[in-house]
Amino acid sequence: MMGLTSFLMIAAALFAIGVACIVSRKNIIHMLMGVELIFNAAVLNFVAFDHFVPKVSTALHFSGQVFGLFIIVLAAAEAAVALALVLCVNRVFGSVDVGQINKMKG
Amino acid sequence: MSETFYNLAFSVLSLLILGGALGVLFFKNLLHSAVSLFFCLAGMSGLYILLSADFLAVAQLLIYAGGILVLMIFGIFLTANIYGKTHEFKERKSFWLVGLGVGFVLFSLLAAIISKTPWALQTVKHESSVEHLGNLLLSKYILPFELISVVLLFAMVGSVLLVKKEMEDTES
Repeated sequence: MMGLTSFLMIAAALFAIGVACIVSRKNIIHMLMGVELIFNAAVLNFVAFDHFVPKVSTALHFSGQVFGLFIIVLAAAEAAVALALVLCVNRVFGSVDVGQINKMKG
Repeated sequence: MSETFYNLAFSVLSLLILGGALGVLFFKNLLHSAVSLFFCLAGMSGLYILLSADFLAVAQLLIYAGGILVLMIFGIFLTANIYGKTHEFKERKSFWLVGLGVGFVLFSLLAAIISKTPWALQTVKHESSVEHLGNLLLSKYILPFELISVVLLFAMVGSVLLVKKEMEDTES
């Protein structure tokens, strides 16, 4: 019963919830949490395909997990830079409400 | 691992993941969303163990739940306005309608594609992945491995530079 499609459905649901979180929230950090959900959906996709789908050659076994590892590391780097930007925005604009970040000139 | 245990574990973990994700989406308080995101990440870690990605499961707990989430909580507390309630923003109804609509459309598209595609499956076997990951990282994926360390260095230096306050030149 627990085939490839169930894992892919969970990843699709996570992706959709992440996008809904980004679109409908006003606080920047809420939107960043939505981005993290999308990253997790992508990693789940990679790992599920690595587990269930036969590869062309045996040299590619567990390559999906290597990709997943790289995605997790890049998500960490992105979260660090994104939060640094949030702190700068908070310093310049005084709030993290995206409705009030509406001036391009500093 | 027997089949029923596998199914039971998958059901419990998927409930945890989807409950956590819906908590991130629907909680008004930002800290409640952060806690619910933690539950989602922990559930994802369990799901990786079911997919024979044991190293990735532990890496997810260490890096995601233990690093990125803590960093976000730091960000939440550093940008909190002590004179007002910034942990709870009230979004407009139109935002919610558009967001949920987009989410539904995306999920239905993806679910239709996933259920209609004839995937070529293999017999699954569960084995430890640490040795294979180590081999792959140092033989086939050595270049991305080195490049990621450079990316991490840039991210570290860049984020420190971004939040550094300008020093006044009072004394040279």
